[in-house]
Amino acid sequence: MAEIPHKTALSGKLLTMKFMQRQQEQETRDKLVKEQNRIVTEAHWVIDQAAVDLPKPKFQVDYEPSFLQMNATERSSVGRMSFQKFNSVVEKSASQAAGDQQLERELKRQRQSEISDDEMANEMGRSNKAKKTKEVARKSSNGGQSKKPTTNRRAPPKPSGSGGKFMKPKE
Amino acid sequence: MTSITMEEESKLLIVLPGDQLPESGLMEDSSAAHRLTLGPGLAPMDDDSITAVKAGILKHNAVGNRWWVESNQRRYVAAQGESIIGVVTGKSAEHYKVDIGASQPALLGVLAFEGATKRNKPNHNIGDLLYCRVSMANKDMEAELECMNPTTGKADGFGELKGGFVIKISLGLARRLLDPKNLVLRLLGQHIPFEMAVGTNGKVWVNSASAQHTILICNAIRNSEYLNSAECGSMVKSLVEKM
Repeated sequence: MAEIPHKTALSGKLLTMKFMQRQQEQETRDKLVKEQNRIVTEAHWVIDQAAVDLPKPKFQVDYEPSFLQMNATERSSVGRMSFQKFNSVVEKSASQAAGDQQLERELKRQRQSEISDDEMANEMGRSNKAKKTKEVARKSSNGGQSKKPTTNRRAPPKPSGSGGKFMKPKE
Repeated sequence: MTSITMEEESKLLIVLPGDQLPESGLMEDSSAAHRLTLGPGLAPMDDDSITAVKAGILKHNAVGNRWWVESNQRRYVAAQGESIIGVVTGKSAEHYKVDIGASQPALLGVLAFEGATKRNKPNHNIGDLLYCRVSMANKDMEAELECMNPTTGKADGFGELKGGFVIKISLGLARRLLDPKNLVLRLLGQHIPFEMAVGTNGKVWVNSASAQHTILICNAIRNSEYLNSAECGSMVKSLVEKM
């Protein structure tokens, strides 16, 4: 195998060809874009986060610029009204809209007082633990009378006879 | 700056601009959340306190821990979602310029009507009254309106108001007229057949069979601004008797 005496130099004619020129242009373009990016990013202002220690705001605030959203029970968004059948179309749609809004408000109020399933499970777990210690304490002071009123929201009360201890099944 | 002590729920708490709200009072309802919804008239200051910026009565709604100042003024500031009465003052290729009584005219897209397409555009002239809804409003740009319900796409009472008469009232009275428990409108409706539209921008449109009825209704609405329910009843009765 013959050794190559020198690195292959591309001839001048080759360099003037279009496909070689394209590569050159691409390279110069990339260089220019890089230069631009460098200038732009250096012009950005950056806060040194470690130096400034901002305290966390006390409240998280949402802004609502409209009075109508504030107290939904006092405002009806039904702006057009008609009385004594002056405009029957308007009257029908107004009464329908009023009914819908009333329903929505009631549902919203109901949903406010309800809790999600996860919260309910947490509450039940917590109240079961508390109940065990409470039951034992009361048994010692009361003498066996421990009845609690049942509600839907709390865990079902334990049977008073067991007193919190595990009862072995009779053999 | 003075600080306010939170009094009982039944008393009216009147605030002036510059009065700070105490933090303990604000956290009454949601102890864990620390979330607050500020309505019109309240703004947070640099030192993390909430201050009133308008004079009025401080109101609170437990749902969502909302606080706001019930104030009154005559100049309207556009807010999203409110229904307003506007007058067409200009037409362009894609927008109508509508005067809503704010500092700047609002834009109503030509296609923002029920069932409007490029081929089937509604034709409104300068001077027409339109009952529209504010679809977008902020303090930097002109407000944008639409003449239909955005969720259903139907007109739902929005659109052109033909005939009738428009009066200008204060914003507080306009909001009270929207209250479903409002007495004046129900009393008037018992005596006179009429229809009306209330714009949150302080404009009320009234249409009835005769000019006499229209004038009576407008006078009754204007008079009812500072009257309580008993006085309202007697005022309406005296007006109707004179008719």
